Amino acid sequence: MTSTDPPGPPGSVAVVTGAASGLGAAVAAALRAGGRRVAGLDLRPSPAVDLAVEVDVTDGAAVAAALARVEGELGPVEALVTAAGIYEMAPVTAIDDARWDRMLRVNLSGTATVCAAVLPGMVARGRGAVVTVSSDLGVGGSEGDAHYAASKGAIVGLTRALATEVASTGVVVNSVAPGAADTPMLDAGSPWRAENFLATLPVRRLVRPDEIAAAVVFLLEVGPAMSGQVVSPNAGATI
Amino acid sequence: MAGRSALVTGADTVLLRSLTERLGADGITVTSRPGEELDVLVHAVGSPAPGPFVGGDAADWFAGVMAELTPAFLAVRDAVPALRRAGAGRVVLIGAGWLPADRPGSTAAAAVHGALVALTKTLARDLGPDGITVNQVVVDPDSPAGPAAVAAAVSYLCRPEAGAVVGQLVTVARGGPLRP
Repeated sequence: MTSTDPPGPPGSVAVVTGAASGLGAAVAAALRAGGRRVAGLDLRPSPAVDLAVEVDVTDGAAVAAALARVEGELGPVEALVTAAGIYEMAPVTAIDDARWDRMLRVNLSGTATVCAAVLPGMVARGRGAVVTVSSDLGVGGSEGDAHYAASKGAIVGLTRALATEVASTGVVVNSVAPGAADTPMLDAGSPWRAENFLATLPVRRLVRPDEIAAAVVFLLEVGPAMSGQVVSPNAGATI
Repeated sequence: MAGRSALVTGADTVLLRSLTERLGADGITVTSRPGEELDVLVHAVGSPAPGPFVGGDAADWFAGVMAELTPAFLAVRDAVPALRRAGAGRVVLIGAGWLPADRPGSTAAAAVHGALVALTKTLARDLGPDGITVNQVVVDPDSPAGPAAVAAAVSYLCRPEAGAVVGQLVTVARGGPLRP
């Protein structure tokens, strides 16, 4: 199969969740630099997008309304990047129902809800690309990350299942699984910022947000040959 | 990416042409022979023909494996000193990853591409501190993606912004096994 689709036609519409900060903001900036018009969906206003919609990604009705507004104001969505997510570390004995539910609701249900809202339009039009944001920890796991790793590992499964489900439609679904990245998600005292962790990485540093954005852009533009795949800019944390 | 140079080798002439065009469009000068200066090595590896493991000719089996592995290992060995000098070197092997292990009668191909996976991951760890990334673009030998898509993946891995992609298999296919 040869990819002949134009990558990200200028002016085409991309939806980025979590676009108010960190990785989502970096992705939004990269997509705008590539000529796309970006709608940012976030609890907070996304500062540098073409249309900022304040929405809770776990609220299906609110997401549907946000999508209707995006399509009404910008046009049909050709690209979706689900970067909204939360992170905390806790030993499994300290993960009570509320912490577990919040982690799974935001990271996994939020991703699934937005995909479910956007995919039908893409399938009907026979084109579109989705990139979910999972995590290196969703594959590798780590101490203190039971609920986070579970939520992100589930996103890998969700991604591959969705890719299969829409395989015959011209829509592709892939995932970027970043390693520990230099974003506000990691507080200043995070063990992922400690010298003794960085020294274990082949490249000896955290992943930069622009590197994660570049992986997202690659997957959005590579065309129909690639679907159900996971690309992991992780500084060599999981080889 | 202007000013960089790439050595692109392998037997698939259609793929090599596509790689040369794509990297050229990225501003990378592509050669087919090693030189003093090198920023990128791309080597595409083929597969021995299917055949029985038990009962087949052992010498033929090993010869088929080494015919693919030897040029790949030598290409990487020869390129590393120049890639070290470049400071942000890139090695991209194009292979079949674990896919041959899913196919009947493919022990020789699985041996070649399994060894390439091992080389990719081990060298990635060894060369990371030198600023060199080592990755593999995986293409299904039975149902290959178009050369333009493969070249797009190689182009991505050669970008400065792919410097945190280390020891990874980037599969240019739809679905397939997911092994890190």
